[in-house]
Amino acid sequence: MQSTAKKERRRSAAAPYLFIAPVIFLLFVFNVMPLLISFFISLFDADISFHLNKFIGLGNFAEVFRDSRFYNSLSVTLKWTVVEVPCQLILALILAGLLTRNTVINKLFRAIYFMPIVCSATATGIMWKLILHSNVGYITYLLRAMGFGKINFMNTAGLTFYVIVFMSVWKTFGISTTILIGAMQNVPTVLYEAADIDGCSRARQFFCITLPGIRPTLWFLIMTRIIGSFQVFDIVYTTTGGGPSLTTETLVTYIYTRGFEVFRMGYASSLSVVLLGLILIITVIMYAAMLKGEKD
Amino acid sequence: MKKILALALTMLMLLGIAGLCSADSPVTVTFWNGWTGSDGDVLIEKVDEFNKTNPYNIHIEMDINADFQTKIAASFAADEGPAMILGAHSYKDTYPDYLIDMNEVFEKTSLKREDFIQGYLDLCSKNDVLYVVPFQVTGRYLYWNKDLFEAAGLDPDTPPKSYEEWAEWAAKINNPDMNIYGSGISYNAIYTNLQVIQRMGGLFITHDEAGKLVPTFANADGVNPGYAKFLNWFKDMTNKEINPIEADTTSMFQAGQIGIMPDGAWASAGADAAGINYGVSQLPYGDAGPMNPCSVSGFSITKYASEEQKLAAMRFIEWWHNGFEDTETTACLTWSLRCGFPGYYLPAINDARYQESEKLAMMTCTDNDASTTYMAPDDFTLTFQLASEVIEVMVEDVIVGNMDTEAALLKAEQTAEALLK
Amino acid sequence: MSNKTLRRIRYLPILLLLLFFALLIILPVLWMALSAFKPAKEIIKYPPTLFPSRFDLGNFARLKTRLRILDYVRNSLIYALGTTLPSVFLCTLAGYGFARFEFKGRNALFILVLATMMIPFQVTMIPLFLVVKKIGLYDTYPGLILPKLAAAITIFMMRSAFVTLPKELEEAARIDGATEFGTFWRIMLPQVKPSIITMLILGINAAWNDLMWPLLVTGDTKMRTLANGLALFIGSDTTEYGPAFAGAMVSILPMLLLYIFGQRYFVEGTVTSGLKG
Repeated sequence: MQSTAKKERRRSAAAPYLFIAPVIFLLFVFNVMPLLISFFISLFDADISFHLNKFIGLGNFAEVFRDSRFYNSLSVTLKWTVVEVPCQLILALILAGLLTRNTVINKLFRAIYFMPIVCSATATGIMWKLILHSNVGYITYLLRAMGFGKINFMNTAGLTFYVIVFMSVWKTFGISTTILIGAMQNVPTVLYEAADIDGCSRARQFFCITLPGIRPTLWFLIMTRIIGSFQVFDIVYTTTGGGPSLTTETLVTYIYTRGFEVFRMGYASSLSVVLLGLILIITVIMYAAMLKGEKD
Repeated sequence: MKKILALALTMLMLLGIAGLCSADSPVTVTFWNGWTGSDGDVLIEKVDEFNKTNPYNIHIEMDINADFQTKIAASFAADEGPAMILGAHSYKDTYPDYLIDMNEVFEKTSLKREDFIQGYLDLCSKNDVLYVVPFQVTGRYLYWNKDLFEAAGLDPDTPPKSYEEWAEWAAKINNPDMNIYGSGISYNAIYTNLQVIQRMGGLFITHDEAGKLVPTFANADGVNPGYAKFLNWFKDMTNKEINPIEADTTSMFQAGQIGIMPDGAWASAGADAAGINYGVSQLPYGDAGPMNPCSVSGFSITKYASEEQKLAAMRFIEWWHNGFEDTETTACLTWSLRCGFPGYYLPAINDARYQESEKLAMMTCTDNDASTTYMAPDDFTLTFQLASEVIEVMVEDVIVGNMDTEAALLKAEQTAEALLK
Repeated sequence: MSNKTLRRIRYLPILLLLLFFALLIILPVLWMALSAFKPAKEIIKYPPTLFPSRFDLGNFARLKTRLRILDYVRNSLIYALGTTLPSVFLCTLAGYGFARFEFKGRNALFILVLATMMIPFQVTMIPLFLVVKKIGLYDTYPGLILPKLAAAITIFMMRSAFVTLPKELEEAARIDGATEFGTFWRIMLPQVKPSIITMLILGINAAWNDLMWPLLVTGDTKMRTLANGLALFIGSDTTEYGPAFAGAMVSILPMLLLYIFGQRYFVEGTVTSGLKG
């Protein structure tokens, strides 16, 4: 008896590592190693063909912190986090709340909302560019016919950023909604029945039963969306390319153009390392918050 | 779960089969480039023709890709590469260590150096090493919509001869009721705009008396008057709503909504498909005198090509220009006739069909006084940075950001100086 | 007024709201779909139109002549399924490990997972490419697939799914003498089926539309994927909108079918609802 109990304990100690080992190994080879290489390259004034003969130490980093375009792209990225994440999540919460039940009509709406997810980013990019074109765009034309005047969605310094945010929400809110619906359906119906008997309003039920019931999923979404906001690239690259006047240039777009438009790989790498530093700080904070949230 | 497992197994089997398949082929030359769009159509057709008709048992395996620039950078960095690429003349500065000296093509094939316009060969060479054999000369041209000219009471067959005329005529063409703009300069089409800017204010970088490279946006006497003129000219047109504040003016031209527009030769394919009645000509000269700045793209062979592949690639380049005995139209000539790029190879230029083409005649610069220097002297190698970090920012600051012209030029001078350090 | 009519009237504003958002989705997508049937001069014109003057199949014909579309579809399938199936399996294992065990280094490792999830692909793609080249996987299917297997987002999602399961479940299994893997496979895994299906669909969809990695790591044009082939129509100087839209339609269809087929599993909840809370 005792020996089997011991064996059981020993197995448990190794088990978690066995579960995570393959993935950790792959992450190390294909994610951590490239990062280390990036860090190494960032110490050189490397060009596109990676000639590592001009060692400049932290020179690239010194330049990063003097680079006004870096600060601009950082502020665009942070603005993206502050604007896009809440918009997306609130919209998804509302729609998920309205579509929780499995009626035919709800299924139809869910399928419609999911449609943009399956479109390729490149195709939707050129589609939006054309449809919101200030002159020949179909939507611009409709709005003009409805009396909204000339709106230059893609070329106005203050406005274009929000247009791109809209495109991003448009493209991805379907998946947030779908995941939330799944979570909401898993909230025990008994709780709602009890609340009905107590005469609770629908809105109150949403805040007192639904929201606490889907907390882990909500955390998952908040974190992935925040992370996603630091990775914004496709939607900018295929529509404005960072313009007008750099008002939509995100960090990743900036890093990409350093590397592939002006061929400064060393500098692009040091920007990546700085981005990684930022990301690590945010990850630790969010993880701590999430663990606390799960314990409550 | 079972279904998923079954699927996974099927996949593994598929992978196995895919791994087993391998084709044995003649001399295969991998050929990468970024010629997407309708020009790519013609390229595919021509490569197919060569593959079918060549007697040497050569197969050109072409890979056209929109992300060619990224792919070639990554490949070279990893010490890997195709046998042949189509790149820009600036590759002599970007990838000199990866490309072989193409002068060999004149020894190993029937191609003759004298048949190429010398200026273009010079642009593709550095220290007597020819890195790129010309394939396409890329400049920018003036497009005008003949129907709109007619409607405005202008002669549909005469394009504006100066930038003053451009603005004046554009104002006449403008028709807000129809949402039609007289002029269609895109604020962020930087490689197009810099051609106009250079014509007005000269090279962006020059040598000073000591032979040092210096930017020309401003100096002790003040800002460059030509550049200031461009910015004010452009800004004035956007203020008066003669020119839209729009990145994509090419689409507007295709929709018949633009009177006069600067663009590359590729714009004609779109305008043709859209059925626009248009004309094309040289961009007018500005205050900086006669010039015809252009970049050249062409064939390069990489150091990853084996001797056999090298020879095969050269045979292809030879065929591209001269064809085989029974070839009616060489690929080089076809490229000019169908895609509208002006010639660089004398046998093609002298061909009757080239000479008869009205469009090509308008686009070929016959002015021997016109300098072909592009942006900066040859020893300046950071042209991409100059374009995207200095010139583009300058134009957007003024047009979209409403910055004062003088301030924008002073800022440009500063960033350009930082570049040169 | 009967109860039923009252409920219907109250549902009306909700329905309008849902319809509004549906319209926001449908209008641009419909415009794109209809434009795929227009000749070039009708896609861009003023005033713009929604419907083509007649349905023209020219754009689809060009797709067929310009691209080896069947090869591309096959490669896309290999890439999408070949990465997603093993990836979801491995990441589910890891998610389970992170969710249901207390072990040394758990927080540090999980932060590593999260951090790698945050690194945008564009900034590490060249170093990653160098790694793949160095270990001899350039231009091979393993080189295409292995780097994509550890998907941090899937690990994270599966962890979130496993964390909510009640402890009694695994304890019951242990008392029955099941091994750790047995507990995972037979008892815990079925509980998170909706999450698995979700991640499968998302993973397949992401790989299906992935442009850059398959392009970088394959030198052979026979290994090109559909997403990459379709990018041919979108150049830096010119875009051929017609064929690009036609291609988008062709590539959307399989994914839409996948969603409709999978919806039954991944949004409609499961019998486990009573167990949670």
